[in-house]
Amino acid sequence: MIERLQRLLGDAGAWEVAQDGEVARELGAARALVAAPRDQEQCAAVLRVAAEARCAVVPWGGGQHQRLGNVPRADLVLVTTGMAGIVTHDAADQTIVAQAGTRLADLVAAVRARGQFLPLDPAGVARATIGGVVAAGVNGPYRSGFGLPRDFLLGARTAHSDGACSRSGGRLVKNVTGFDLHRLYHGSLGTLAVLCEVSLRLLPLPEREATLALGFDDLERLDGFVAAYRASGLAAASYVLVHGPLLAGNGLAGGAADLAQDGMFVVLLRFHGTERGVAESLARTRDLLSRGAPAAACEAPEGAQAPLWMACREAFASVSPDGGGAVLRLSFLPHAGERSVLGGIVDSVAALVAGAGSRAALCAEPGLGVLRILLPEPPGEELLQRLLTFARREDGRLLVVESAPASWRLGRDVFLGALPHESLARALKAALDPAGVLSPGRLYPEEAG
Amino acid sequence: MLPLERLRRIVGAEHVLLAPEEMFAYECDALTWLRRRPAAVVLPGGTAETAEVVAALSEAALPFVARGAGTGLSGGALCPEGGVVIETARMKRLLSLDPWNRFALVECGTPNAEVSRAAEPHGLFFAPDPSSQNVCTIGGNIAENAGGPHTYKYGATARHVLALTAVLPDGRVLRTGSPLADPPGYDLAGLLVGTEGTCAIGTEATLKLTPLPRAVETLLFAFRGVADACSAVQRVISSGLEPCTMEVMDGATIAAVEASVNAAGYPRDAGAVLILEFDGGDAAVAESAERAERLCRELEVLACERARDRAHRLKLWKGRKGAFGAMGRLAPDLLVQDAVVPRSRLPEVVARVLEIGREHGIRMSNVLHAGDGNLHPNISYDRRDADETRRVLAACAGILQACVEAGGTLSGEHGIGLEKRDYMSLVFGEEDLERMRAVRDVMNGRSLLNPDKVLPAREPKTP
Ligand SMILES: Cc1cc2nc3c(=O)[nH]c(=O)nc-3n(C[C@H](O)[C@H](O)[C@H](O)COP(=O)(O)OP(=O)(O)OC[C@H]3O[C@@H](n4cnc5c(N)ncnc54)[C@H](O)[C@@H]3O)c2cc1C
Repeated sequence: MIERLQRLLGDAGAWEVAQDGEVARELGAARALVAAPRDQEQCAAVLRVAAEARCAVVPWGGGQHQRLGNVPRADLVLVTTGMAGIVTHDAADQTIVAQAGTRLADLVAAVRARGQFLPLDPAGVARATIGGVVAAGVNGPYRSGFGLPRDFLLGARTAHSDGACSRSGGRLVKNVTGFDLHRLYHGSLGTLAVLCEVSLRLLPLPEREATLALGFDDLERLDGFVAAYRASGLAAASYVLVHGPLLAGNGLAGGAADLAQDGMFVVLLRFHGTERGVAESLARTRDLLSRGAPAAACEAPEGAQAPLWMACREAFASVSPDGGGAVLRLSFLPHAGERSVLGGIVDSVAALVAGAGSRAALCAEPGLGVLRILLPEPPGEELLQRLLTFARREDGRLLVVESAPASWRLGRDVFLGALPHESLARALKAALDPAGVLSPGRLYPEEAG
Repeated sequence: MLPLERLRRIVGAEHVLLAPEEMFAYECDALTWLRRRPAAVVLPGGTAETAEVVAALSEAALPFVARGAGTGLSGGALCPEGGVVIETARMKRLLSLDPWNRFALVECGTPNAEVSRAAEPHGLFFAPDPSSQNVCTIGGNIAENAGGPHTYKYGATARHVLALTAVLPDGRVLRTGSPLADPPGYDLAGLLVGTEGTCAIGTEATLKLTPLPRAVETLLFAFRGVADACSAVQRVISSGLEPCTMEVMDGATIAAVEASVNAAGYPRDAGAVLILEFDGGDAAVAESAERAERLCRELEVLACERARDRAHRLKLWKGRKGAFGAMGRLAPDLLVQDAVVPRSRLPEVVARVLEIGREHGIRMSNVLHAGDGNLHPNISYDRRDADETRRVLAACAGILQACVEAGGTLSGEHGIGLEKRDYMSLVFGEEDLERMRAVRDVMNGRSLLNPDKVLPAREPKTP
């Protein structure tokens, strides 16, 4: 196999994975090959070879979101970083086309250098690739204000397991020509096709950016604020809630350092816009504080904004620094009538975690109804069951394991039974991945036989 | 054979139409030169009835098509020969509206504007705003991934569908998506949006509602020609401003509008007008409007108006809203063409489009969603005049070709349908189309639902 790949890609284009390396850790695969194609054609050729040998292929960008989903069978890791670089950046049209292996950080910086803005800031942004971020369908704190990569995705070029190359969409900001298969690839976790190139829509770089931090030590007041904010119709670029300690040491100096305390829940709001527009949003937000008075409030000083949001972004993370932690995600409808349910959910979850003898940091996107439970180690069976019971007690809640070490995920369903439409999904996979070799088992368990 | 008795039992005899004079209205959509007569029209009253109707037709191996309001402009709702139209006109209930979680659950036959009307008392609206919004249905919008003047800021329909209930062509009911953030699994709702009714029939949709802006500023600029108006658009965007709407109308459109009941007082000597709108917070919007006005005035502006109040704003919009109606009165038929190019190419492409119009001796007026690079060359003609119709279609082919050559594509919002199916190879290769067919066949393997639309038939295999 390795010889065949090297014939295709050159000697440096295929190798065996290191036993103790990242691939082994993230995929729980002790033995695998790695192939690094340099373009769409090579990528398709690798897939054809793998399909003939019935080798399971896991596409790999920066390896930052490999913990999403179940552990796939992995015989061959297809590294996309050999397909890197910006293909075209049409600044006047506010669009960019990049190869899938381009680092998101490079893309964001290149776009910024020309006065434009790509609102994607998922965890691991420094190493994550744009293809990986699209395939994972993830975003960071910008998710609350700008949505998912899907909302910026204009088209894609892909390679398929029958060796074909294809394309959908294009680089036009409005386009209804043909089926938008790129919307299906988005979030499909590398199970349908390998993304080789994506085109994205850009926004203008905001003239001004400001961050407001509001510390709540009382969950009822937090709910008061969340409800008032919702009623105001204000639209922040980011709107998140983080457990105070997650922010410790991130530029919260002076009185603001209080925010980083245990027992403090910090609402972070970031506003983008023109000078007057941002000032107006800040003033209107301050007006809301009478209805949900925080214990502490401050506007982050200029230099503190970036580190603060970085801390916040990594806190969301499916990436935890030592690799041993787990993240559970609870989605819920954020309001019951005008009342915010966030505080109540935070309270219950914290009690369940404490009751199971664990500790957890919590962070949330109040506007979207997402709570992330960050555990220092994977949840025990009891905690998992209790959280699941809590989630299922009411309609309109959904719990999944968003991230955990491969060793823990092996043999489990991280979606906790919430994956729908199995037969249709399998049929779609068979249509787009006819050889059935792309990340088998990542979503639905591989069928026997 | 039409399973007539069974269909009558499912929906009630009065909801099965058969009389030839009743079929006339279903012969075409708003693209009037393409016509086919269905064998029958069935109007189910909800998801369950739709599923039963589909199951009955599928068992009888009869082809069928979903139809909303029939305002489609690419022949998408045309029924297969001898087939059955499933019309969603009885499915227009607003099932629930949750203003705090900002979504509405509606049946797919609900007219687009009804959703915003229901949401308005809660300070919300449904953002996709096709010009046909008073009649076109949510199901049609989802099928076509419809857009409108505000798509530049808010995105097309795909961004606003959270969940979808759909009947697959074998009668199974698929419930996909969720108002909850990030449901796991494939984004089937996202996939179905824009498949032009060739994969499933939408029956209920959960739609995202957006807060109404606190403030709106509307500006109208008159220019000597479309190229100037497009340059103004480009200047405004390059400056970093974020308008919500950038609509351009050319001189022929202005003339048609000003001669109609919707006369909006646009300067008759102008070669183009641009409607520029900002929405958001009070201060932000006022500041943006001032800056945009300054930027545009650096160009040769024939006239500039800034709406003082709501009434004035509606007046500035009146001509744009009434543009299709006004053009429709110029001749028996109106063909609303639709294509997209990269925004920066608009000035040269519009010039080329006008030239093509002159070459073929047709009557054309242009409306542009300029921010999106989306052109609508509108051609007034008489489809009973075979020679004129031939010239109109030749001009359309030339226009599409020119747009594709400029890095554009066949449709920005009206879809491919039957009209543009055979142009698909201008944009996509056989491998690209093959993936799309493969996905369609997963859902619509027997091709009973809306066959022969969007995707051209497979090329015969050369042995
Ligand atoms: C004057 C005028 C202005 C217009 N302006 C715009 C505009 O600004 N932007 C824009 O995007 N479009 C515009 N259109 C085009 C048209 O209104 C849209 O495409 C609209 O979404 C069609 O909705 P409909 O209910 O009329 O669908 P129909 O014409 O009935 O059907 C259109 C397609 O959708 C399918 N379909 C309908 N209902 C369903 C369903 N429930 N499930 C599955 N498939 C279904 C049909 O099979 C067909 O393929 C305009 C049309 C006119 C006549």
